[in-house]
Amino acid sequence: MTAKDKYDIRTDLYFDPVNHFWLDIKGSVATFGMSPLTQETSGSFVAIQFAESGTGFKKNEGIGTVEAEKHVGPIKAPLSGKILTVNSELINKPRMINEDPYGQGWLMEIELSDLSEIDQLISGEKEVNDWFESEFEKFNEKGWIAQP
Amino acid sequence: MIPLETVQQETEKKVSPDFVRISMASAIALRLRSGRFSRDFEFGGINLLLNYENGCLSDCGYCGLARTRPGDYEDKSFIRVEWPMVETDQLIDRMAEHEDKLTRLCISMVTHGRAYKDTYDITKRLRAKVKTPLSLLIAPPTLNEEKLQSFKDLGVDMIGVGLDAVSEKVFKQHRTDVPNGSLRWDNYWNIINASRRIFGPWKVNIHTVVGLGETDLDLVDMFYHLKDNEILAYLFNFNPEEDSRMGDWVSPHITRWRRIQLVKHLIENYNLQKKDIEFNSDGGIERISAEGNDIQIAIQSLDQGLPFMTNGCPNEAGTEVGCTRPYGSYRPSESFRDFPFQPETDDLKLIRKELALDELIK
Repeated sequence: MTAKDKYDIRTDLYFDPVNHFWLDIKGSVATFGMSPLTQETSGSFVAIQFAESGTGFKKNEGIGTVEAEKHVGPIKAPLSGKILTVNSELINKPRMINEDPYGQGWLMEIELSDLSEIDQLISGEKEVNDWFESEFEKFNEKGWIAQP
Repeated sequence: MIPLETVQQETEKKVSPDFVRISMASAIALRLRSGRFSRDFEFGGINLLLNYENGCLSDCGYCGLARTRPGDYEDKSFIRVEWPMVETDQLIDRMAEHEDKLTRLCISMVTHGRAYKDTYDITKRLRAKVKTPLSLLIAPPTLNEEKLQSFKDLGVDMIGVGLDAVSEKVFKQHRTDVPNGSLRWDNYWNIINASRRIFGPWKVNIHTVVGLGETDLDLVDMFYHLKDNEILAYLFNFNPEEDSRMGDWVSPHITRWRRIQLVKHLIENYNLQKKDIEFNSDGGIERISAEGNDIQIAIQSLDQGLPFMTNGCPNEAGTEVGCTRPYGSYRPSESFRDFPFQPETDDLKLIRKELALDELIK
């Protein structure tokens, strides 16, 4: 099985190769959420916490935490900037991240402070597909993905 | 006795013996579900749970499977997380495939008229293909000596009993005098004692839950009683199950929990005497005043973290705990109530603080 068979790979979006977020960037504003591969291998989410709107941050700084049934981890900023809005619906329904990672499971909207950082993201049909496949293999080797 | 109404045909439903539920950690380990643990550690303790349309007929106040807890049985969580349902034969094949990393198997019964028959059936199917040591967490109201013996004859090596409440008063409060309660303290002890006779010393374990309203003194008395009878005590942290009757209770304070873990370990492994444990007027552990050199060293060093590891049935060699139930009674965002691995230096620092060790031994 390949990543393409298993996941909806949105090649129209950017992907953060370190923290596995998708980003929809319009000008200097980005909405981001979890890639389908990460949401699946984290398990069912049970809780989420966000830093407050207006908080400024550097790339890779913690701006929240997300907790699944057997896993907890930080939400690390995919790019530097400031939080504009958080998806507060998730506080009561964290499983939306699992159910609709590209849609209702979005995490935050941020204002970017350094547009040059966008170059470090993955974009373009071939690059995104290749990256997904290689990450899928890595996660599979670690035993995080269910086998049919 | 189990009401006859429960012994009904449920062949068209996804019920035991052809279907079982497994813990989420087991499902991840067997790669039946995607997922991962917050920290890296080996995990090979597989837990199965019988499944029936009308569920468990007990109604324990703290349990996610309690009869009167709102919701369909199929959707109920047990120890807070989902237990995926799987086809038994498919599961057994998967276990055989992953047997090299399995350390312990356990089938948990529920109180149901078919529980004995189905546990026997599943055990037989399992033993035919998988040799990993097998425990049963039994439902005493469904059993007698003959049935226990039949489990032993099939190759079950350990029996667990979820007594949970360590005093008769607390047992009655949460398990007998409840809306659909029928569990009896005496019946539990008859089955515990029969299990001990049949399976032998240190082959029976009793689940003891901290946080159901008992005192530390109740717990300590139980630890001594079980030790005297060569029965193992496994410690569990009460963790409120949403919508259960005890959903608004809180987990025991971490300091209390850590002290009980430490005292239990010292009783079992260093022969700590009851006279050396000081209790306050509420029956809470206040101080350990043991003079013995070994005990002092064990306390000061936290005995390399061993007191704070999960209590569970051993692996085949008997050298390590084979059933470690990661995040079984606490959330991944909390500190490990019991560690599924030996605590590391940073963990020990935190445990020392949580114990308020200086106050305990001053």
